[in-house]
Amino acid sequence: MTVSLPPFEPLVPSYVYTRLSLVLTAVGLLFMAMFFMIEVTSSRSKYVDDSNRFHATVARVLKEVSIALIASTFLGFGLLFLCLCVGIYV
Amino acid sequence: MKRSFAFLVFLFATVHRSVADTTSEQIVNKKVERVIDISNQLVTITAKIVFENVVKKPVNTYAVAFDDQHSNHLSYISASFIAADKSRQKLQVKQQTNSDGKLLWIVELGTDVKPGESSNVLEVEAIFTHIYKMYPSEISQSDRQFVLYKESHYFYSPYPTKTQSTKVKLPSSGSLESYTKLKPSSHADRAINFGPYENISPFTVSKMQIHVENNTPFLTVTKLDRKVEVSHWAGMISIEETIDIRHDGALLKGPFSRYEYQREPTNGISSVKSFKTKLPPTAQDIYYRDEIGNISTSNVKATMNHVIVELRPRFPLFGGWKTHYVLGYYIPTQDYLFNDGSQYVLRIPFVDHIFDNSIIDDALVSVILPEGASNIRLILPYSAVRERDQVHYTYLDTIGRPVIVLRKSNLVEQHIQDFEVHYTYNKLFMLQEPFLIVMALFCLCLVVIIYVRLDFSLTKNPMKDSGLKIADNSTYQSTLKKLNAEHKHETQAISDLVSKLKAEGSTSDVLDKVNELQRLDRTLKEQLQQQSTVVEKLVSGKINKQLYVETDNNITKKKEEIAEKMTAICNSL
Repeated sequence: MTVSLPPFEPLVPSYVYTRLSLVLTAVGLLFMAMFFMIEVTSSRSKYVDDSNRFHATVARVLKEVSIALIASTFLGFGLLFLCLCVGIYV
Repeated sequence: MKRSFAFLVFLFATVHRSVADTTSEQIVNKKVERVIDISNQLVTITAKIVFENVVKKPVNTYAVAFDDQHSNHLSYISASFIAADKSRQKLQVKQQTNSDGKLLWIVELGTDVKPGESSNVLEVEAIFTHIYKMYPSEISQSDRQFVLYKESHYFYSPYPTKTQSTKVKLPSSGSLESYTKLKPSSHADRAINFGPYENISPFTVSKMQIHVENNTPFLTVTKLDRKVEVSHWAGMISIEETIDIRHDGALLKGPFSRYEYQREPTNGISSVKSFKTKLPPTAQDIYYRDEIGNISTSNVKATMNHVIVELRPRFPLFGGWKTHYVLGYYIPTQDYLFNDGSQYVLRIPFVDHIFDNSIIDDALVSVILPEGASNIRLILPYSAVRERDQVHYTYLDTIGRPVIVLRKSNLVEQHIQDFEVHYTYNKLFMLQEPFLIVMALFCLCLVVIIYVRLDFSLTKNPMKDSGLKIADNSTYQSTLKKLNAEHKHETQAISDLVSKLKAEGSTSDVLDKVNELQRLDRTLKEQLQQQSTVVEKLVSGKINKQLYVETDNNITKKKEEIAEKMTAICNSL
């Protein structure tokens, strides 16, 4: 009836949850703050020439998206480990 | 005539039985020792049987029977051979209905008992629930609880029995009111011995009745809802049991006095104040609560083999009283979850200890597996009804977690056995949960990126107006060019006229005046050019409005002065 298999090991051992969540959330918040700084201080209509204006906008959006991606990845994993270390076993 | 008829009936009965059950004539019970334990709310009958094969064929099965009352209340049965060195060999037991509607439990002996030989000691243990009759059925708070137990003096068997004896274990305290005294019988210190009785034919019943005081806890779990949830991220299994308990002893008659209950230790002796639940040794974060919240009168004690939780309901439980509570805890997966690649096995008790000598009327066991688990396969230690699979939604779920639901009724402590859930799970599914949070945050960022590029203001934005001017820039430039060209053309015409005047020999006075006019015109043009540069600067945002207004005013003044001078000269011509 019984099959002998090795015991299951979780992907991340439970004793590192707290540290992981601290580090990842801190880095995530840093990038998130950076992202919002850029968003809040941005001004428009500097560009007189139409074609220049389009390219500059694309460059700016790309920069914002990449910062947003970094911020949300760090913050996302950080929040997951935060859940795990406070006892919400997802 | 009468005698011959009776003989015929006997003959028919014998023939009928031999047709119905071929095994009944093969075996003779040589010696049967029964122990009937009625010391708590369960009745445990342990029979040690030595039997003999009396036919020429070898036999490999042995049938066990109980009277109708016991058959209906049987919860658990097990059989084993006890060898001379006291080692046990567990045997398979199958339930079977005989052709005359009688329930039989067939023990698979595993080995053949050869003709004329005796078997090893066969031990059959059977546990019965809800079999007592409360007598009296209602008692007041200060009364003691008495139970009536009915059995047969003789071992109920499809085979004839040569010699047999029965020992009845009584509760550890309390009085014995009465018992049937079929000779030979004796009553000694918390036990009654019946027998030995010789040569009893199959299915013979001799009514035995014992009326005895029994104040042990008569608690029944009427409904157990056990939820087992596996978390791969945390490496934790959460177990939550929602339990409904009823005191199944003699009903409480009359009012309940807390004062009397506290004053006298023997008052409410059959009631249950608290009970102990044994949890696995690794249990942690234990919670115990009922409908109105956490019950603080509970203690946890960790021992070597168990974590013992002493649960004390908000009120003592008297006969007929009920309580409802939730007990939950977490256990690490290390002893319960096993895996090899993507193949996982969860091995966990079907039910767990709730209190000693417990009866569970109805157990519903749900196993919540991680999201994405597939190929689910069950291995059960005993039969249970598998209900429809369900889907459970909890933190960070999208398609939901598969839930296996199992149901079984009439369980006792002997049913605390492991069952296995085999499933396949791809480790990549684990990433789905963090990615769900990541995506949510990223979507928020995208909304912000779009939001700052939208204009929701009601008033006209000056920045936007300057944008409009930029759009007109090209027209402005072309107009300016045209005007400049015209001016140049006119100036040229004037110069031509001046040279003509010179040739015709005009007075120097007129010539001077025209030259003066031309000079002033040049200055005016310079001023105009300056003005246009300033405007361009303003449009491209190189100077602010304040500065523009000042410069513009100065230039306009100069222009007016020049214009006046020019008008004066023109008039004098």
